[in-house]
Amino acid sequence: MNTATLPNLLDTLKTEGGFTYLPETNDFAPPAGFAIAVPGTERIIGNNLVTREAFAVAFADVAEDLLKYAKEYTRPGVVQRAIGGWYSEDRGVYMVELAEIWHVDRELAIDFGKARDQEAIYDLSTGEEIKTGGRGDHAGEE
Amino acid sequence: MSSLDNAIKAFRDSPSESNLAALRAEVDRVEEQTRMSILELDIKLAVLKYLGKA
Repeated sequence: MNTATLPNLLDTLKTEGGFTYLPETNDFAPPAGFAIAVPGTERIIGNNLVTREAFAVAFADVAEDLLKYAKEYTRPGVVQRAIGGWYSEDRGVYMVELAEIWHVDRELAIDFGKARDQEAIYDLSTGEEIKTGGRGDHAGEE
Repeated sequence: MSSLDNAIKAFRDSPSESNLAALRAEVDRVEEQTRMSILELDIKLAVLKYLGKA
């Protein structure tokens, strides 16, 4: 990471509605695969107003999750670990969370997203957000 | 002794294919651990710099 990484990611989140960042390879735009969030790792950082402090704290927390996760699960070749940021239109909030990039076919990726009760998964090759009908970490908050 | 030391000793005491494989696996594990520790520090430093605290 360099000094431009975090400002760039926050800008991308605000202007494009999301990012997928691979800290292990410093890759800002993985060209393929499906980004699927890891349940229990979501950090909401605001609605219309996202401060750099809120973003940095959430990013650091999720990075810590990623490092712990990396020690527990190693699936080389099939899954890459990522930090994802996105805007949930359903909930009207920006968030940062731990994500996996799965290099599998679309149907299997959708099944994974549904199994994890995710609102959506993201096709990195097309830029398409695919709704999977779940509630994400929002489930159980009410 | 660390598990890496043990793997080295096992291979030196008995240089076999299986002990060599075990030593390679241990080297890979330590390498991965080191890489992740460096990444952890790298991220922490980037966050502190971003917040103007470093």
